Amino acid sequence: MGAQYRLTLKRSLHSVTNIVIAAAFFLLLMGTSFSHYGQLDTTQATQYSAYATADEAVAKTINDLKKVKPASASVKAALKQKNQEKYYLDQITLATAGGLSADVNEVNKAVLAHAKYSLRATEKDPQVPLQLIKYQGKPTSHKLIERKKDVAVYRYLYQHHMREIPVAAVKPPAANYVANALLYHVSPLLIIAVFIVWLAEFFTTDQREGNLSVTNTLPMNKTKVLLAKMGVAFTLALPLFGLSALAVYLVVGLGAGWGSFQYPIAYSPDGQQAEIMLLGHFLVLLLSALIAVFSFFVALSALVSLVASDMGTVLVADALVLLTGSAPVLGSKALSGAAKFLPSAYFDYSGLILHTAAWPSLGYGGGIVVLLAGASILVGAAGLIVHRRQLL
Amino acid sequence: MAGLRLDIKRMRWTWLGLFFIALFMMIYLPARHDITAWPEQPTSTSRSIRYYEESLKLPIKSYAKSSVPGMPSEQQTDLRNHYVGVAKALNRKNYRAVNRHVLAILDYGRRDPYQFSLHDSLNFQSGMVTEIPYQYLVHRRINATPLVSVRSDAVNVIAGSLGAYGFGKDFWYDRNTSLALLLCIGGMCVCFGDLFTNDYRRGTYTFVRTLPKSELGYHLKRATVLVIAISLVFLLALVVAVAAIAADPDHALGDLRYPIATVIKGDTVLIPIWQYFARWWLLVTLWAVFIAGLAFVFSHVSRSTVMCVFLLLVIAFSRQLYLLQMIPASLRTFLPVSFNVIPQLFYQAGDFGPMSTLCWAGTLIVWSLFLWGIGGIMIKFRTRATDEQKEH
Repeated sequence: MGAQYRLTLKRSLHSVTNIVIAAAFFLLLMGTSFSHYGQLDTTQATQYSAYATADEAVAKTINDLKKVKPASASVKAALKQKNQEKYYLDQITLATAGGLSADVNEVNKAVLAHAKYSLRATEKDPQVPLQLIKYQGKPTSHKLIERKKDVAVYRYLYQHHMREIPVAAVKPPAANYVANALLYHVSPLLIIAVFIVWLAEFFTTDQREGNLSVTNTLPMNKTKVLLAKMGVAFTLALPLFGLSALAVYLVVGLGAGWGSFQYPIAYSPDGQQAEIMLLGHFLVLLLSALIAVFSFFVALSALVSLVASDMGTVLVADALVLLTGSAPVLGSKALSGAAKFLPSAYFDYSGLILHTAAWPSLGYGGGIVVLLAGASILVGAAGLIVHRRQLL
Repeated sequence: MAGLRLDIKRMRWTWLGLFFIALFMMIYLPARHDITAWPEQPTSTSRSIRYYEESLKLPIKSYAKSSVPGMPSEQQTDLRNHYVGVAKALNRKNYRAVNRHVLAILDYGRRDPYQFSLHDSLNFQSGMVTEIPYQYLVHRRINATPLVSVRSDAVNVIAGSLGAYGFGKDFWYDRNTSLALLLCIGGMCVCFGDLFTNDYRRGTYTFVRTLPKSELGYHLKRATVLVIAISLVFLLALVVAVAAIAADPDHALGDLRYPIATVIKGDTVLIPIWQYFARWWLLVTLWAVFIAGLAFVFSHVSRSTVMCVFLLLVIAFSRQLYLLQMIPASLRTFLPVSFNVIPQLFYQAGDFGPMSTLCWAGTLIVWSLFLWGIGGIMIKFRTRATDEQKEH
C-alpha cells in the first residue's frame, strides 16, 4: 500500500485544483480584511464612544427620573440604581479620557468594576433596566449568563494586562483576525464546500483520465488502492487549508501585529456558568472538528465515486449531504429527536465548540464521535462494495 | 443546420435542467413565503378584501356621523361616499372603481385623517407621492389596485421575490434580494467554464483546429447557443413561477402593466412590471455574454475546467468577496462585475447613482466585445506560427 500511496500522491501533487482551493481558502479568509481596505483603524475610538454613549444615556435617564414629582418609592429606588450605574460608567469615562494613550490597566479595571456591578444588579433583580453598552457587531442581551461572561472576560484581561479587541475591530492582530474569521465571518459550510470541490475532482481523476479500466485489470487489491487514495486526500487537502490559514496569519500579522493566542473567548458550557477559552485552545478544537468533518466527507466521496465516477455527480451528492447540515433543515420538525445522532448536526463546528448551536447536540466530544462513526460506516460500505465486485 | 444540431446535442442538458430547477426554487420559494408566512396580513385576494373592509369601517362610521372637526359637512359626506365606494368596489372586485374612489380620497390630502388606512401597501417609501401610481392606474384603466394586488397577485409577488420592493428602510424583513441573480451568475460561470474547456478535456481540440472554418467562429457559435439557452431557462423559470403562484385559487394572475412605484433621487418613478421583468432578463442575458467572453479568454490561459470556473467565480463575485474595495471608487463604476446587486442596480441607488439602464447595458456590451476581441487576437497570435509555416 505504501507504493500505491506514493504513486497517488505524486500524481495528485501537480493538480491545478490544489492551487485553486488554496487560493479559494485564502480569498475567503481574507474577505474581512479586504472589506476594511483603506479604512482608518477607528476600533478604539468606536469602543470608547460606545462607553460615552451609555454614560450619556444614563445621565438622561437620571434627569428624566428627577423630574418626576412626587417621587414614589419605586422612582426613588430606580434613581438610586441609576446613580450607582452612573458612578461606574463615569469611572470608565475617566479612564478612557486619554483616548488612544489611555492606560490599558486603568481602562480594564474600570470596565471590570462596571461589569461586576452589572452582574450584582442582575443577580439581585433579573429585570433591572441596565444601560447595556452597545458594542458594534455584538447583540446586547439582559441575560444573567451574558453578565457572567462579561465579568469572566474582563477579569482575565485585567489580570493579564491585555487590551480588549472587539469582534468588529477594523484591523485586529493576526491571531484574533484568524479566529474571528473562522468563528464569525466565514461560514463553516463554505469551507467544507471548497473541500468538497477538491474531493470530487480527486476521487474522479482516474475516470477522467481514462485510467480506470486499466487500473481494474491490474492484479492488486482494489481496497488498498481506495484506502491509499483516502490517505492521500488527508495528506494533501488538510495541509492546503493549514497553509492558506498560515498565509492569512502572516499577511495580516505583517500589517497589524501578531496578537496573542492567549486572548480569552467567553462561553458557557451549560447556560449557567461562564468559562474562558483561550484563542489557541479554540483554534486547536476547531482544527480537530474540521478534521473530523473532513474525514466524514472523504469517506462519503469515496463511496459515491465507486457508484458514479463523474465529478459532477460526486459534487452534487456531497453538496446535498452538506445542505442537510444547514440551519433550516436541522431546525425542521421532521428531524427533531434524531438530529443529534446524525453527522449533519456537527457540520457547523463553530457553534459546536462554543456551545451556541441552535439545535440539540451531543456536545463537542459526542459530535466528533458521531462524525468518525459515520465515516467508519461509509468506509466499511465502500470497502464492501470494492471487495464484492473487485472493480473500482 | 447540421452544425447547430451538433452544438445543441453537445450541450449539457442535465446541468441546464438543474439550473432551471434551482432558479425556479430561488424565485418561487421566497414568493411563497411572502404569501403564506403572515396569515393575518393582506397577502391574498380574499384576505386583502376582508382586511380593508375592516379598516375602512372606522372612516365610514365617523364620516357618516360628520364627526371630524373642522371639515364642512358636504366634504364629509363626499368622503363617506368615496370610502363606501371603495368598500363596495373591493367586495365586487371592481378594482378600476376602487382606484377612482381612492384617487378622489387622496385629493383631500391631509384634511382627511383616515388616509393612513389606505397606505398599508408595502411600497410606501418616504418622499413618495401616492397619487402618481393611482393616476397611472386610472388613466390606463388597469384592473389592479395597490390595496389588493401588491401582495396577492402572482406577477406582483414574483416581482417582489425578484427584489422589486427590496429597497429602502421600510422593507419589513431582511432578505438578500440578489440571491437569485447570484445563483444565475454562479451557474453561468460553471456552464461557460465547462463549455470552453471541454474540448481540451475530451482531447478533441486538435480536431477542432483542423476544421475548415475559423476557430473564433466555432467558439462564437457554441457560446451563442449556450447564451440563448440560459436566457430561455431564465424566462421559463420566471413564467413557471408566476404560473405556480397564480394556480392558487386565492391569487389572481395580475396585470403586467401594473406600475411599481419607487423613489429615485427624490422623484416618484413608476416602473411597469413587464419592464421590470424585461430589465431582469436583459441583465441575465448580458451577464451571460460577458461571462462567455471572460471564459473564452481564460480558456486560453488555463486548460483545466476547475481553474477556469474558479477564476470566473472570483471575478463574478468580486463584489461579494470585497475585492472591489481595493480599486479606487471612481474606477469601480466602469467595471461590470459590480452589477450584481438587485434592486440597487435598477433603482439607481448606492454605488449606481448615475447609472441608467442604457448605462449598465452599454458597459456590459462594451466589455463583452472587448473580451471577445482579446480572445480573437489570442487565437490569431497562436495560429500565426502555423500560418507562416504554411506560406513556406
